[in-house]
This record gives sequence, structure tokens and C-alpha cells, in this order.
Amino acid sequence: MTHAITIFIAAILTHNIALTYLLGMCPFVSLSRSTKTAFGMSVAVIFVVTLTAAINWPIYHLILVPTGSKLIYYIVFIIVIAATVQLVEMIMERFFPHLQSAFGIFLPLITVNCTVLAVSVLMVLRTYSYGMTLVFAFGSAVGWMLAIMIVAAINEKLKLVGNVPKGLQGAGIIMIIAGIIALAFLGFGGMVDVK
Amino acid sequence: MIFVPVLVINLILLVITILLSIADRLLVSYGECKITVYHEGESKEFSVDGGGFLLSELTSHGYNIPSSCAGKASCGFCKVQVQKGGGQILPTEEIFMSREEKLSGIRLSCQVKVKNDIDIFIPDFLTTVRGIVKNKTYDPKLRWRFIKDGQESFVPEKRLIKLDPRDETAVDAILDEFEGMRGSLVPILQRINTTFNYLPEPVLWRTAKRLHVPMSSIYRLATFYNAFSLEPKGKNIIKVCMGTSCYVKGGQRILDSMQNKLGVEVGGNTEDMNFTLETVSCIGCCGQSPVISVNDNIYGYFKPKMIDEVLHEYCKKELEKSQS
Repeated sequence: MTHAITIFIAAILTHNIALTYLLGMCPFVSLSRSTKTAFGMSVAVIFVVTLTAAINWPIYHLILVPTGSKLIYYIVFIIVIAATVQLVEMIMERFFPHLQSAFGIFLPLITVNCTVLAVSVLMVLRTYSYGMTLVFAFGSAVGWMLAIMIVAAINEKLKLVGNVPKGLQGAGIIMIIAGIIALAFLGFGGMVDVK
Repeated sequence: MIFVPVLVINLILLVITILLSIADRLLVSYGECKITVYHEGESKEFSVDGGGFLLSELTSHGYNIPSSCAGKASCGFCKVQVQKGGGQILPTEEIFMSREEKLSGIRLSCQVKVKNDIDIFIPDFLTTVRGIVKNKTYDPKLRWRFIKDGQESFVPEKRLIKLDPRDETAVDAILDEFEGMRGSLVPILQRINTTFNYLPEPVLWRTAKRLHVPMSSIYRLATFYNAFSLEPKGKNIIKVCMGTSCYVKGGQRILDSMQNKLGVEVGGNTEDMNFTLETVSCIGCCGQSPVISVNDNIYGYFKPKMIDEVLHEYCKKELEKSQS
């Protein structure tokens, strides 16, 4: 239990997937213009990351390892992620149109998001058990949400001031904000010890 | 043994493909949907299989909706008006829409999924422009002429009021004084106001040119503050207080007799430009009400019969000024 909490905290703060590993930068930059879209995107990320990790773990441990085909796990994970996202989108559109209009439109963007693949790959590299994988996946996605929400909120405040130099507007200033926030997150470094 | 991974990946692919095909068959089909298009004054109807995007359905039925991103909601060209059955506007579309467009039901056709019967209206101007280019009815000579409501409209030429050379030196003296100082627009306008008694338009143009500030921002300041006026004003400004206590003590009577005496309405100038009559809501001298002020001098416990005396005093001053 304590191990699970440690992994969860580490995934959010010290090993934040966006700010420490710099993964998922494409939607991070393009969708952190406003907190509303950032929130929709991060809910979609939390959902997809947890779901795909939950599907990929049994595929890896029950199919790939017994058949001795560990080396193709990258390809398999990518295929599974893409198919899962597509399936989820279809289901959502048919049965939950309200959810679809809230965060379903971000789902196709996640198909090629490296955060999702990275979580699945890291769970293999770190040899997590199934429960730990779920905790780790959920924690990573929440960490990504935390990062993008912070940047989006700062960005919104900056818009009110409105004196960002022309050359830095858009992606430039977001990169700088993300860098400073990442430095701040380094401060959590000694808090939890996780390999 | 080397073929096992190949077999495994093929198996996984097969399973996923079957799964997706089943899902596609079960989930995405919406049956036959009717699309009604109003375009160039006529309406057309056609049926499509539901589940596709509106843009691709329109294109395949011969309507050329402009689009450069092919349905990724990033160019924002494929706007049509959805009158019925399009569902809610999506956050991905909102950035391309003005408030007005959102209210009138304009949507990006590449984001609208055909799930039920849809009525849409395609604006005419796109095909009009295309027709002009295609049929070569476009005449380059007519480039700047637009016919509106059957009448040719034209933009009136801007009338520039010339700046008097004497005024020009006066403005330049003020501007030189503030050369290189930040945030000096308000002090400059104040100085212009004290020099000319109002803000003459040619002087403001001169200021805008010298300061490299757009005329709009000067205009913004000049119209915001009560102290500035764009209309000419007399040499002495008489303000009659109409605050609560002054009004109760007879402010209106003072104002009426002042108007009679000067022969002007509130806000007007006397013919000799000696006086401007204004009202003020309070000048903070309620204890001495009723109160009037002339320039910076305040006259308390004022009575209508004192008007002559005060006006005479200022007329004398002006006379002395002009003689000396």
C-alpha cells in the first residue's frame, strides 16, 4: 500500500511525465492557451492513459512474454493504443454525446500522443505489477493534467497583462513557462525515492 | 522460432481489425439521413448514409465548400449555416467564430457529423466570386467601385484643416518641452488646453505626428476627460453648480438668469468668445451654496443680482489684457 502511494506521488510530482520527461509536448503547447480546453484534454489523457495501460499490461504479460516475442512490444502497444482510442471514440459518440462534446473531440489527438505510449513502455521497463501499473498510469496522467493546468492558468493571466513580446507569443512563452515550472518541480526531487 | 513474433503481431492485428469492424458496423451506422441544402435561392435534397462528416458529403454531392486543411478544423474556411440538426457547436470550432456567427448557427462543416436529418444554408458570395472569375466578368477598372443599394457609393475625401503658422510654433514649443519624456500625452493635452482653451483638431494632428502616436489614442484621451473639449471655448468658463444643496438654494434660478444675461444656452459661448456657460455637479463648497465658479475663482452665497458685477469684472480684465 505504501509502495502504491509512493509511486502515485512520484508520478505526479518528482517524475512528472510532462515536466521531467518532457513527454506529450505537442498537445501541451497547442492546448494550454485556455484552462477550459486544457481541462478537457487532460481528462481525456487521464482516461486513455489508464485504460491503455490496463489493456497493455495483460497483453504484454499474457501474450508477448509466453510466446517469447517481447521485442515487438513497441509495435503492439502502438496498435493497441490506436485501436483503443478509436473504439472508445465510437462508443462515446454513440452512447454519451455529452461526454463526446466535452472531451471526446480531444481523443483523436491522443492517438499519437507519446505520453500514452511512454506510460505503457515505462510499466514494462520498471516491471510493475498490475495494480502498480494502474496506480502509476493514473498518477502520470494526473501529473500531466497538473502541469498543463498550471501552464494554461499562467498563460491566461499573461493574456490579461498582454505585454508578451511579439516573437515570444504563442508557443515561445509556453516553453519558457513550462521550463520555469519544471525547475520548480525539481524542488520536489528529494521527497520520494523511486527507481 | 523466429516466426512466433510475426505470428503474434498478425494475430493481434487480426483481432483488433475484427473488433473495429464489428464496432463500425454496430456503432457508427446511423441509417439514412436527409440533407437539405439551400443554395442560390433554391433548395435541394439528397440522402446519405449517416456517420460521415458534412463537408465530405457536400463535396461528394457537387457543392464546393472551400477547405484547405481537409477536415482537421485548422483552416476555418468551410463555414456553412446549419439551420436544423447539427448539434452543439464544438470547442474546436469556437476559435474560428465571431459571436454573431455562433448565434446564427454557423458551423465548420468538417466538424459536423451527419447523424440525423440536416438543413443547411450555403452563403452565396463564394459561388458569386467563383462565377466572376470563371466567366471573366471581372473588370479590373472597376476595382474600387462598389454598387450598394443601386447607388454608387464613394468615400468622401478627407478634409484637412490647415494649421495656422502661429499656432504651429505654439504647439511645437509645448512638444519640444516634453521631448523624450514617457507618458507625457496627458500633460501635453493639458498644456494645449490652457493655451488654446480647447483642443483644436489640426493641433491634435500635429501632436500625433510629432509624438508618433495614433490619432485614435489621442482622441480617446481627449474625449474621456471632462477637462478637455474638442469644441472651441470662451476665455472665461462660468460653471453654475447644480449639486443638490445648490439646486435647493436656487441654482436653477441663477442658471436661468445667467442664460438670459449672456444670451446663450448651457454649453454655449458668447459671441465675443469671452464666456462659456456650463453646469457642474458639485465643486465641494456645499457650505456656501449656491455657488458658481468662474475659471478657478469661486463665488459663494451667490444671488442672481450679483451676476452683473461678476461679469463686469471679467469683461474689464479682458479689456485690459487686449489693450496691454
